[in-house]
Amino acid sequence: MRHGWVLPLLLLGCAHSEAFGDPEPGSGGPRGGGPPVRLTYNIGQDGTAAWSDDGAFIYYSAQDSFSSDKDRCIVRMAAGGGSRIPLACPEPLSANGLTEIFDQPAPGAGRVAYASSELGVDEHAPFRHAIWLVADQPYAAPTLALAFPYFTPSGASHDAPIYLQWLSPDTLVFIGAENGCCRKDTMRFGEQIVLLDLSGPTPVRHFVPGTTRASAVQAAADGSAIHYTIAGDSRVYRRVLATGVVDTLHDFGPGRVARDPQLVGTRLYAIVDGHDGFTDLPPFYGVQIDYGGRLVRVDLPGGGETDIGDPLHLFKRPRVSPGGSGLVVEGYPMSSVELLDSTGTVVAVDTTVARWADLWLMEE
Amino acid sequence: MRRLIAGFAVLALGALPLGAQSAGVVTGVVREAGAAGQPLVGARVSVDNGRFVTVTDPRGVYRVRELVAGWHTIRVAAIGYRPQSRDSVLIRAGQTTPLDFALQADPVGLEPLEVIAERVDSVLDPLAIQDQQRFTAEDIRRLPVSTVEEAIALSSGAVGESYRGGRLGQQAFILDGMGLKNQLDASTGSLGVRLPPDMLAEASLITNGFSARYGQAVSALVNLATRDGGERWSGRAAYETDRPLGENDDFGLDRIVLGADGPLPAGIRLLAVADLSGRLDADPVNAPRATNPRDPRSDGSRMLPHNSAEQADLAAKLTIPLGARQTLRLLGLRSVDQRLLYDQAYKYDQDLAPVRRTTGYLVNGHLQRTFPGPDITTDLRVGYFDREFLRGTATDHPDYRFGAFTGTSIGILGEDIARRLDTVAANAPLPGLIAPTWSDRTPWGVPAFFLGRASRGGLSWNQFREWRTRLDASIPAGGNTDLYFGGEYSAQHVRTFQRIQGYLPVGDSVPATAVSDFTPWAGSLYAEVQGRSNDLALTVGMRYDQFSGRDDLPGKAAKTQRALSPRLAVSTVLKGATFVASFGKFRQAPDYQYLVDAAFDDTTRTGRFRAGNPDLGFEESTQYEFSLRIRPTPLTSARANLYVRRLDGLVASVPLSTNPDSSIFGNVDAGSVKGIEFLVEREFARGWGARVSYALQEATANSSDAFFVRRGFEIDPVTGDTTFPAKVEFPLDFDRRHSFTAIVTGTTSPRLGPMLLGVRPLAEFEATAIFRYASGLPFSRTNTAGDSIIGLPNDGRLPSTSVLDVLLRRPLRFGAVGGSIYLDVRNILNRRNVIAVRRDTGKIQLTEAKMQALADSAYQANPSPIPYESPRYRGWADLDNNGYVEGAAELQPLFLAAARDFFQPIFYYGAPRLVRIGMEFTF
Repeated sequence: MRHGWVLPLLLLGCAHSEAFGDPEPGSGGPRGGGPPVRLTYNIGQDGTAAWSDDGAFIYYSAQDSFSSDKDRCIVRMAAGGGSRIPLACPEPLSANGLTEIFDQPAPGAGRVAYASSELGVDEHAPFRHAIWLVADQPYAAPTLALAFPYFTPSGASHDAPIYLQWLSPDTLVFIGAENGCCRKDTMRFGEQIVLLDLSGPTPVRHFVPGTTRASAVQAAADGSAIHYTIAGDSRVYRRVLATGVVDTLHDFGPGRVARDPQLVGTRLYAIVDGHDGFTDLPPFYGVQIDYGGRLVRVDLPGGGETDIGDPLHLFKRPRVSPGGSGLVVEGYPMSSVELLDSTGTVVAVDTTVARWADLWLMEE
Repeated sequence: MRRLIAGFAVLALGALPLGAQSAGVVTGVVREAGAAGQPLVGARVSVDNGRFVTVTDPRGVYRVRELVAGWHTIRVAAIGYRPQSRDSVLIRAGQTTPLDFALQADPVGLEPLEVIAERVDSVLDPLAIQDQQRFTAEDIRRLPVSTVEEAIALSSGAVGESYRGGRLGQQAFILDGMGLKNQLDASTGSLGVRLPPDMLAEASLITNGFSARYGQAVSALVNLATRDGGERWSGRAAYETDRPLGENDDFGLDRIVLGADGPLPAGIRLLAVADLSGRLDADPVNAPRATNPRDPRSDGSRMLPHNSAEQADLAAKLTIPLGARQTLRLLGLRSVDQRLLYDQAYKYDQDLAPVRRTTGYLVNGHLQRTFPGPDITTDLRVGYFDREFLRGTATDHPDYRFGAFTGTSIGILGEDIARRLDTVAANAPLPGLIAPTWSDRTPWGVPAFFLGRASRGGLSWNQFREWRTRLDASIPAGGNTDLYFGGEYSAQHVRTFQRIQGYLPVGDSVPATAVSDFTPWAGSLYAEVQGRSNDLALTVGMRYDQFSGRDDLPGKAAKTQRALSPRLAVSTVLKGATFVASFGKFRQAPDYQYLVDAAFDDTTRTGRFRAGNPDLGFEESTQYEFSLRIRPTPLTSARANLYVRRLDGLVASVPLSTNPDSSIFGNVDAGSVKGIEFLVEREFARGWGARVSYALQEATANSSDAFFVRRGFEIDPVTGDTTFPAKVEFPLDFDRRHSFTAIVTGTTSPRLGPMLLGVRPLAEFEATAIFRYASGLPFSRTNTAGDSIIGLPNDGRLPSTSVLDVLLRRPLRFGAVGGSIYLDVRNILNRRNVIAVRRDTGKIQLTEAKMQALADSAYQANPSPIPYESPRYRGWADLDNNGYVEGAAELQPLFLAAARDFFQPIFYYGAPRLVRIGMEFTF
């Protein structure tokens, strides 16, 4: 035992691993080949997707099927598909008969902006809307950025935000939307595009002129412009924010309703046709309730349209990755029912669109 | 502080000398050498080079009191006689050591005769009236124990930290003559400080007949006497571990002990010890492995995650001579115990399980002075004790630097709010806490049984601080009679904070934050006379105790409780045997935690809240005991004790209405303990020694702990009539009917075995084995919901347990440095002892039908399909590979597997075999 002192030194090198290790969560990768790749199989609503700045992750709103109130959470998934990770969820113990919705995630610069609202069990129009900021990590504590409703300088009421996204590191852009009457109405429609400046101690709203009845908006990658559509209009507009100059990126033609534009380089993606739900009849003047449409790509300038969707789905809210190689979109399955007369002859085909969407990765 | 000064002034004016349980007495006769040796009058007896000096009386008798337990040198000189010295006289705490001298005539003044290693016999001393089972430092070193508590637990009558059937917390500690107790929550919490074994001279358990000098206990005293620093520098360094032993025996243990003692200038002696230990699995279990291969416990690994603990005990003692007749002793002790607590519900989200930290500070000062002539010894002691407890959710994952050592305090969410007693902030959701959900990290994926995302949200903090001062004096009253007087005063400060479900605001089902901040105090006086005439000894004592609880309640003055407790013992020696008959009344103030409100999660549905009772009085016991002690051979002693204890005034919960949450603490419980003990000991001599004990005991009461709802009366919900149920007693939780302990120790001959490379490997090998057998503890059967007892309380019995521990040690020499290597094996046979069963089945496992019912219920609560992208999705469970785990065929097996995983009886078994290898170096 002359060198017994060596023993403790040898023992110092021994390491212990945790007895149970890290469990393997979820699926770990995309299911099946593609594109198109079906990213979600959730029986609830998955939507309002957005890309991380580096294109590595997709953020979206997912309905928690284990929540008795069917709440919706902000989750994150690897760009190619696989398991989702919850980032922000309504408190699970608030089984209060209200569906609490966190949606429209806007990731950027290490934080995520998102919108919140509540929906009563026997109601159709969400209420109590707000915009929140939270660190981009699971279950961080959020801070309130903007509460609704408020009145615009023109006297209109903005009850909720739609198409929430970052224009620049300190500025959010969204469409201020009006709710329909009395919380029992199904209609929520865009009223005007708003820029929300968060650089100071108090958020400041800037209302973009000429964007009344905007139906969708996209922030340009460099933050210098916004691309938008107007309810019932076939054109996609571009407005340079510094000068206020507005031009038309593309016109899909008379009688067609364009929405959800996404411009990447010279490629323009948009949703056209389908069930746009636009009506100009009183008292619902200029209301557009969108149930989805065809997903098309246009090579600008003046290029032809290419339908990149599939005939079994209608689509909404396409989002192109920062690098332009990926496009995630909400897909609403369609089903057809043949209406037969007494002789068994098909007299009509009734096509219905699913209420809930799944996310699809359409291109790489 | 003013009360402290006032109390001290009262004691000083009383000028009552007092005695110390950590000290002993030496007495004897000095005679002329020879058959007709006459007693020598006026012979000078000196202890430890004149620190204590006395002279023999007309009968040649001398007596020296208040000697600190340990080794002493005694020298006797008389004119015309050759002086004698007795080196290495062992004085034991609380005992009288008889030591006679026979001096040779020395007309020409020869050199003193040194006589070394005098063996003394104190077993038959009739003045040693208490039941005392002691362990010296050398005993502890030879035993397979690591702490003083483990050594004390080997005593007859001990069931863990329950003594003679009493509840937890009914004992008090005496450290070098100063009382020490966690008066806040001794029944549910630890003391907060631990004395490193290297500091000890001896430790003992006293279960009856303890002197009127001590209180704060109704079941036992744990007496700890520290040693002084030596007159030459010496030290020890030791390291223990189980790392190299392979996966089944490696629980991540590291223990480092460093100690040194020796002289400083001016005759001061220093003793300092650091005892650090860490283990990655601090509470290992011996449960069978899981059968499902997807369960991480199926591979046989026995370490539980999130179960690490680190402890640090630092102690130092200074012995300062102040002249020939005064000695000042200063002792400082700091302990930290930080551990992660395993929670089965967080098996797969371990970082969310709670963390607990207990820190303790103790500083004691002791000034002893002897007054020659009247031969009075006085002891003045002053002490400060500070204990803090914290439990909650960790702010971050522990940063392990070496084994289980982090070396830092793990942050706990909300601890700053708790320390401030900030109820405004605490009644809102605590920052950083969110509600837990079903874990999605389990192998099964389904939302059931296991929790994740966040902790349970509990936060508990308390602090107990105490300034204590004590004055003892002992006075000889002629012949073999001594008088002891004394008193003690403690000024205390209690602060508590309890919050549950901290992620929710207080209200509805979440009870309000329970806080308290008050300054109780306690005082005592005692007088005791101990005398011996021929073979009859009599000890009579009286103790007065007083305490005052809460002074923080608006409009309500603090209520002062008072009590007198007599002690009486008669002992005699007949035909070489000593008989002792003793009677005593013992009282202790209740845990202060019962004076304040309590909020807790109670799975037996007896409520989640208790109202504190500021008017609680003493808990008490009355004990009668008969003891017989004999010494069949010079090396063997035997004892038999027969005792009856009556417990009364124990704290229990009293419902004020049919709602259990309306319960209040009250002194409403009673019980009785009867037992007989046999102890036989062969002292270590000629290479071996043994100690065997057997106890037969019955302990019953109305309830076993203060949170159990004791229905002193019932209100009929229909008629509104009040009825009083019969006062029936049931077995206490610690009612162990039979317990047997055998300790055998031996050392091989220095010449045993062949010589190999200049060494005899088998020579001087030390070996100790401890075998313990105990009959099962009682338990109560309940219904499936756990809210009703089936049959009578505690009418079920667990199986018996047995365990064999072994320690092997081989001394070594490394040049000028000594040392040893040792192997310490607990439960060497790896016996799987059952220590608990399910209350609803009376068995360890759930029945298959019950397991299936639990799984079905969980499935019905969450039947939703699990989609592919969900973190709950498990591809192997998607039998039709359609991207969903759905339907009964795919989901129900997952819920059943989760139920089997969750309800594994992990904690129903005792500890497995625990091995440690050690090396020590001494100089």
